[in-house]
Amino acid sequence: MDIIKDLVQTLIIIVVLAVFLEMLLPQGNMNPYVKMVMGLLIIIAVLHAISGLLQQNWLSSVPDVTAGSKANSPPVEEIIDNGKKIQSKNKDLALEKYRSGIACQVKSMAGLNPQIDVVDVKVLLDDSGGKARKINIKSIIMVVASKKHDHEDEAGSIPPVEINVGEPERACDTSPKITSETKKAAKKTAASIADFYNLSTDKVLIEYQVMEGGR
Amino acid sequence: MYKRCCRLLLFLTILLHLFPLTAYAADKAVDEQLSELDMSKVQKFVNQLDSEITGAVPELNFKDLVTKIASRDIELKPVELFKKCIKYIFREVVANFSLLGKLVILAVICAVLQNLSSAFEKGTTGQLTYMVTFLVLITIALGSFGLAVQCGREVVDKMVTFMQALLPVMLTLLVAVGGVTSAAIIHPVIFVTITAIGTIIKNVILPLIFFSAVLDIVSSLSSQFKVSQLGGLMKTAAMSIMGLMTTIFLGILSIQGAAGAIGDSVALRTAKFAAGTFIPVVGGMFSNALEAVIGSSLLLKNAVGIGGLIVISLLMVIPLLKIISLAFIYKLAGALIQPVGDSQTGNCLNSLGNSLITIFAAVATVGLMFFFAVTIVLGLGNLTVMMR
Repeated sequence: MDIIKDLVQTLIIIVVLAVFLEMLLPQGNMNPYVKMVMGLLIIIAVLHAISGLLQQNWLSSVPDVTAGSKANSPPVEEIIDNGKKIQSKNKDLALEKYRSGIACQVKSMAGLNPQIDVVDVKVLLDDSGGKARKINIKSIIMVVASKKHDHEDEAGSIPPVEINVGEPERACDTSPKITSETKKAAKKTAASIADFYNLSTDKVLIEYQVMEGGR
Repeated sequence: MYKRCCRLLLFLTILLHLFPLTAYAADKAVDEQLSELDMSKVQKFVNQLDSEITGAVPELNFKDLVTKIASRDIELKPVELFKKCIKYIFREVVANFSLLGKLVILAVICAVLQNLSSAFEKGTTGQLTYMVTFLVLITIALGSFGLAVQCGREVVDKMVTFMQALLPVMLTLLVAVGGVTSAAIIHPVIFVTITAIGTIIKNVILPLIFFSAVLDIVSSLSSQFKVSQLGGLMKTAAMSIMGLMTTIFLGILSIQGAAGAIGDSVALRTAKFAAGTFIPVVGGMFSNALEAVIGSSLLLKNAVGIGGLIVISLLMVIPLLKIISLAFIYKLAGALIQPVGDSQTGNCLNSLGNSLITIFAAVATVGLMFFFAVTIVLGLGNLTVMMR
């Protein structure tokens, strides 16, 4: 750009000089010659500028552009790392929602059977990781509680209480038991759930929880 | 009957549990990701904006702006904006009235002197006086023209700096939606081209337009020596370089972007297929949850992009209005002088106005290119997610 700037400056000087010469020279047949000389000067100035442009090393300005861009932009590795962190968090969030969604589904399906009371469902996932991140259901654990009517049934047949003085203190199991009918119903539900999720029956586990105070 | 009821209930239960999950996941994810993103550079730039721009938009906080866009809480009033722009143009024109006055008075003096030149003993005395007055007029005109060129250079500089702060955030979110290949491909291209465009516009195109205007003025000094063709050549060269640059920039960006997006979407489709086919029907639930969370990243990326576009518009609008109002002043001065004075002065002012319009076009083209660059990066993410 400096060459063009110099050319423009030279042209301004030549034109202004030509204008003043035109005014200062006496009227006569000198004017065409002055115009001719000044025109030649302009041509020389333009040719000089063109030769300067041709001799210039154009590639010298290219490293400045790339160096400037590197200095002002963060490296691509840093950007990809930051993006992958967000991506990983997104996947974890989706996984958590998937787990809770499956748990809700299992709970709802188990709720269709009036013979059992599923209080909690735990879903264990097998996250293989990797690029294609295959998600498998490792196991489903249903926590089945004793139903209220189970306790009421048991309340009718309270075993006789024996008091023996002098014997060591023994933990007395006063909590209501899970009936065999509940167990049978829970197993049936577990089998249905396993079928529904295309799992083997041993992957749907049942945990029995005996609730205190008849709750 | 009991079995049918059970099936219906089961189906309804599954449906009910599938849909709220996605919406909840998306809302939570947007907030989490926003806190994860490093927008300090963008905010730092926004804080450094001119008092004129911040006066138009009070308390411009980029993060708040993005949140508002993501939650569709922002109100854009195009009519109000248009009214403000018109008001600003009138204010600028009124502010430049002193320049207009100076130009018109000097031009009238020029015209009177030219008419009186025959009254002097020697015609050259009148001509010399006319020349001096004309040079004063040119000096004043070129002074404000130089300021307009400087203003254009500053805008380009600011836009390049802003793009360099905005693009890392957008590319990070592009990686978050799965566009790793796109980000890796587009990163060097976009940063080098943006810097190159900024440098070329500042150091080649705007000076060429300036030189062309100077040569136009010099040509009007004398009817004998004309260098206006050289000026025209410079202007044509500047416009050709700009056109070529725009075509190359947009072409490379769109082709590379599309290639990267297709590669990414194929990789992501494989991941989705692996998760979706293992368990029939409900197996797609993980993909749905993942899509909802990725959708939130996409929403955030689009909001950041739109926020960026708003800031670019704010950066551009005031200097561009200044340049266009100055061009109007020159054109008005040229139009007023034409019936009174000589054609030389009128043509000179008119050509200055035209050169200012060219500068306006150059700066607006840079803004438009950056607009397209942001839109292409936005589109890349959308394409990646759309093709999953």
